[in-house]
Amino acid sequence: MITSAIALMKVLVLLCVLVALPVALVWGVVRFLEGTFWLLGACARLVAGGAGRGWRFLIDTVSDTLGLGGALLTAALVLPLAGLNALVWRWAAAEHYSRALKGELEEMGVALWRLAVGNPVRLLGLERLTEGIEGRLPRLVASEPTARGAAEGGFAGFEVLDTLPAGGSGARLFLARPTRETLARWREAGKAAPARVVIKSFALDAGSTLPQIVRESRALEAASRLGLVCEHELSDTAFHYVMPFVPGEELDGVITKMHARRGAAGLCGADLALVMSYASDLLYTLDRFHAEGLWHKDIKPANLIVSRGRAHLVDLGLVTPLESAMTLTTHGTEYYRDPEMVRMALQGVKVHEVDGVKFDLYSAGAVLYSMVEGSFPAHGSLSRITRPCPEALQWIVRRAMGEVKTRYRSAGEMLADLRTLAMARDPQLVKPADLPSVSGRAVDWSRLGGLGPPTAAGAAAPADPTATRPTPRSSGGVPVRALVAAGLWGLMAYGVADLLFLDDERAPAAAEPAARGPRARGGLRHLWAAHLDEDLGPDEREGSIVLIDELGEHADPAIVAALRTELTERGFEVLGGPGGKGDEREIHFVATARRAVGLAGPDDPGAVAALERALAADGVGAAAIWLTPAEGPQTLTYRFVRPRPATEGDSRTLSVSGLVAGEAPAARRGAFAASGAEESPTPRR
Amino acid sequence: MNEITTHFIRRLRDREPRAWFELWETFGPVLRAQLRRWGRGRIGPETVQDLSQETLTALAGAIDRHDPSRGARFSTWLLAIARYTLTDEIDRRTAAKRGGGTRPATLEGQAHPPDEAPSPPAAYEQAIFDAKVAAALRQVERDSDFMEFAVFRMRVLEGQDGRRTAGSLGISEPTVSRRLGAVRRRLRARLFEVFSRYSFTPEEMAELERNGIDLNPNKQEEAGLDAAIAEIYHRGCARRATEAAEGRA
Repeated sequence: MITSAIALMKVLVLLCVLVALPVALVWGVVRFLEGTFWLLGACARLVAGGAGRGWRFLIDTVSDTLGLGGALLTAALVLPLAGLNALVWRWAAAEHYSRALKGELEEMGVALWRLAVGNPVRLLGLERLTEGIEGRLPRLVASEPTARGAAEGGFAGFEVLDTLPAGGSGARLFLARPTRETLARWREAGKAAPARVVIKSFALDAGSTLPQIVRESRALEAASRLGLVCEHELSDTAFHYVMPFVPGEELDGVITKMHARRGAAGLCGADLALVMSYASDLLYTLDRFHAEGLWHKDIKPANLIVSRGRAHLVDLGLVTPLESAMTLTTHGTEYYRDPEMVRMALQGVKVHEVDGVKFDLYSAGAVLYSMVEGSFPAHGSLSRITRPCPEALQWIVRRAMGEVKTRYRSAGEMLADLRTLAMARDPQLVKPADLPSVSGRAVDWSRLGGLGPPTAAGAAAPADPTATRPTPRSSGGVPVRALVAAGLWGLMAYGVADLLFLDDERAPAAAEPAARGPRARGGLRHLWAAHLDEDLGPDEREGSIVLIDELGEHADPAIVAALRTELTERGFEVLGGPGGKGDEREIHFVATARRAVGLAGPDDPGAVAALERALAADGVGAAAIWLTPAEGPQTLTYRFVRPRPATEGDSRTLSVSGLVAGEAPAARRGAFAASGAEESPTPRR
Repeated sequence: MNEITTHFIRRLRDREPRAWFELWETFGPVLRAQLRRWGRGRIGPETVQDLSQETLTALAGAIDRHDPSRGARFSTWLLAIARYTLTDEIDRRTAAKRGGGTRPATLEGQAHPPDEAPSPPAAYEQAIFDAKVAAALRQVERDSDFMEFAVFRMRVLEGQDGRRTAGSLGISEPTVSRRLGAVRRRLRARLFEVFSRYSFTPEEMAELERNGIDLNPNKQEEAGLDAAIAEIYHRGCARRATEAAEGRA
């Protein structure tokens, strides 16, 4: 039995060997052949590649040698031309030939490099070694901003930081920082001294044309008076002007996001308030333009930059004096340009024969339409408003885009209507007949649900699911868990800040809550504490304070950060300013406050009174702190505004603009040392 | 051709810019939409803009050769010129790609479409009709006091009732009726004028009645006129918005 089993196993093993052997043999042969062919292929590829490289090397060498010879020849011809022109004092021509000579020398350099290094390296297949030097490095050098700005000349007094996308005017735009000397010069002249500027540069040799330069330069003096242009310079072949830089987002983008969030429900609540605030900013700016005798001529959402909740009008490319004797042109942007203007331009009328103010107002109406509708007015004045919006707002749009003879007469008149609507507690209740331009009388606020910012029940209406009634917070209401977490984060941040030896005022916003103890109480915090001790009562320890921060680029951000820290430490909820939460509630309150003040400054008693009423009407909080730039980055204007309840007398005497002159304390100024160390804890009055 | 059309054609022949602008304002958007449809994928929005201007310039130039006895509709004539302008542009581009020149095309035989040419699409005809009504509305807006047109807009174009309109504007209901009546009268006159100007055949003139607009209605028929105008207005607005968005995309 065992013997037969062993025999069977032997047979099985033999069978396996007999089958496996040929299979292994075939596999081995196949692999061998495969390897051989791969080797042959590789050899062939190597030979072909080598031959190709050799051929390319030959061609490149011949081509570069010819290029070198050609450049030498051309340089030899250009050199005497440059010299001769210089000899006879034809400097412009000599400069021209010198530039050509420089180009030829560059060509020669490139050819020499390729002959000596580039081509041999490519022949050896090591071109990746020289790719950076031949490709990326020249591009890098060419795009070096400072070098380019300086090369174009005329930017003395500025350090070019970056280039900006060019508009349609053929100009080049540079982002720059004024030097200390330039800033000092501007301050001496009583001008604003922004930390960053935009330089718009035209040069004939850079493709600009003389008409462009003339068009851009004709309204600059007036624009300078408005503070829109810091300085400008004109030479025989180039022209540039310097404007304050407004960082932010184009209104187009802001509106698109707003409508994407709201959908078909249309704008309401805080968004509606923001839209009216942007429109008010635009109209206020236009009013100033028109008062200076200027016509902007290119108002559209893309030319409005939204920064810190304010809309700033930019692009002076088409600005024209209203009394210009030039022929009217059709420049402008379709859908935002009044068709009547095109009609008149085709008739060949002069600028001073038309009312440019009304054409700007048409564009302002079109911009307002875009904000309400989320789209441009494709059908001109007949465009439909399909999204839900207050009837009076529709009226304002229609009136601005209506026939020239029935349009608003001035930006101020349109602004008065808009402000009436914006100040109403419930804009939906305002009828066209309530607007000052229709009724011709002061506003009866009792009919409009009272004066003040829109409430959740009013402006939010049923379509606004996100609007909530503001609920003032206090430190006492914060849950224990949140306090513990905040404490832990605060301690960690304090430790990090300490480790990095950061001055408390210079520390980033994240480290601000940790700034405690004697170090934190020094410098800016100490100064703010002195101000707040004067303005706040001893029992005032909680509530909301709205920060109206208009410092922008004009002041060190640490100043506002220190104020926020001081207020937070005292138990106040701070709404607005850098480091804010940016939620619906904060946007609502900040927009309310901004809407009340418009673009006026804290020295405007009417604006202060309007702010006082806005604060009182909706119980926004304890107060508002209004910060505006003063002479330099270390100085600012600070105004503490308390709510003042609206009385019957107030509502009766309210003027068309919605502002009543009230008792306004003088603006207070605090001086801040550049280092952040305390200079004068006692405010200058 | 009636006297109004003849007068307008005379203004075009005299190269009066305002007459050209009227054409541009009224029919420019329709032409741009049509050219965009035809040239989809081949021409960009800037070219569409240029071609629509060229079409209207060509129309103003071709007016000298217009022969009313051939009985072509104004809309068909306009479309034929637009098609010619686009074809010419595409021929020119093709020739430029080949590196050669192109024979300057003439408008002979193009000003009037050949009999075998396909009739214009219904959507185009409707767009031309709506454009004429919109031109009349714009003219009425220019002629009217702002409050008068606001009453008309609220009552007819936005469909509000008289009481609400009166409340919104702070006027009485009889005043609303009176102002509405004045605008209606003006609108009828302007509709007649615009359709007469841009109609080469009696059949084109009859389009108004076919679309429910009676130029001499009695009291009962005025509601019908309002409804027809509102419908055309809403249709035109929706089309304009779509076309403008397509043009910008």
